[in-house]
Amino acid sequence: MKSENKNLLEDKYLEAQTSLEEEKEFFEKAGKEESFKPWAAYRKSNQFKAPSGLSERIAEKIDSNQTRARNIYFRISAIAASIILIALFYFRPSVEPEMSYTEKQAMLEEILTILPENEISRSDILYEDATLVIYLDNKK
Amino acid sequence: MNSNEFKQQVLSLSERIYPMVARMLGSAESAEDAVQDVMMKLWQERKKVTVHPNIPALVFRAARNHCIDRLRRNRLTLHSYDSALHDQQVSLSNNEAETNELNRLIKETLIELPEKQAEVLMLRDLDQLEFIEIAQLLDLKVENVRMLLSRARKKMGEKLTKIYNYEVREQKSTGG
Repeated sequence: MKSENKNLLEDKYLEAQTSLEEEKEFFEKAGKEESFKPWAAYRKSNQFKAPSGLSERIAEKIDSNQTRARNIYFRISAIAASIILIALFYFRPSVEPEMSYTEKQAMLEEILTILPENEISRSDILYEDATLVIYLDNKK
Repeated sequence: MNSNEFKQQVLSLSERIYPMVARMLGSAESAEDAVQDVMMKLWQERKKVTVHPNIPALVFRAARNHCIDRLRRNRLTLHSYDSALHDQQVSLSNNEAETNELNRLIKETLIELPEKQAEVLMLRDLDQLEFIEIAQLLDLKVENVRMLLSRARKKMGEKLTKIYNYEVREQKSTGG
């Protein structure tokens, strides 16, 4: 009966119809037989099993690389931002100093001398801070 | 694909690809580094991995190609997949000479087999991959894998029986 089972398993193995579990059983038995004994021994000495915790170690490595990459990104961003701020401080566009009230007054007087006196009265002039607006009536 | 999805779908295959990688490189030490390199590369290309229709097949192929590249870089002669067998170190039993002889005979037999048959035989009997995994790795149908494996096993059996019978005859004729 045992021999029949053994032959049946060997036939299945040779026809590549065995499961991995059945093959394990076959090789355990083959280790004691003649024909497949060398193959079973070779298999045993050349098989590699994954060390425990392999996936976890790789996951840790990926996580640490990710953190490192993120840190490098933040550092580069911080350095770039600092350089931009410093550059803006040193190379900011020069703003002309605001005119004093008397200067503005003087300029207005100068402008009024250009305009014809009979066509404009002082009440037609609006001041908007540094902008001078003069409304003219075309009907006049 | 985020970190958790990558761990579930890709990284979990590390243990499955390890035996194949270790056998191809012939060393357990370099195998862990190689598996790590493969996984890091896949992580960097996770956008492509996400849209791949068959992620396990992609992982197995990436691992196999990585090993072939490594062997080439190490200037090992790689005329065929099974030629790497020449460089494999085998753990020795108590009877060193007998083990060496056994390994030599097996390697000779494997090299005599057609390349695909030898490859399928090693992937199944040594690396213990499922038929579907071998089919995906080698871009074959499962039926073809079974056929190649069956032929390889029968040839291996015939060859080993011949060797065994010859040894028995030798022992008888020398009275050993």
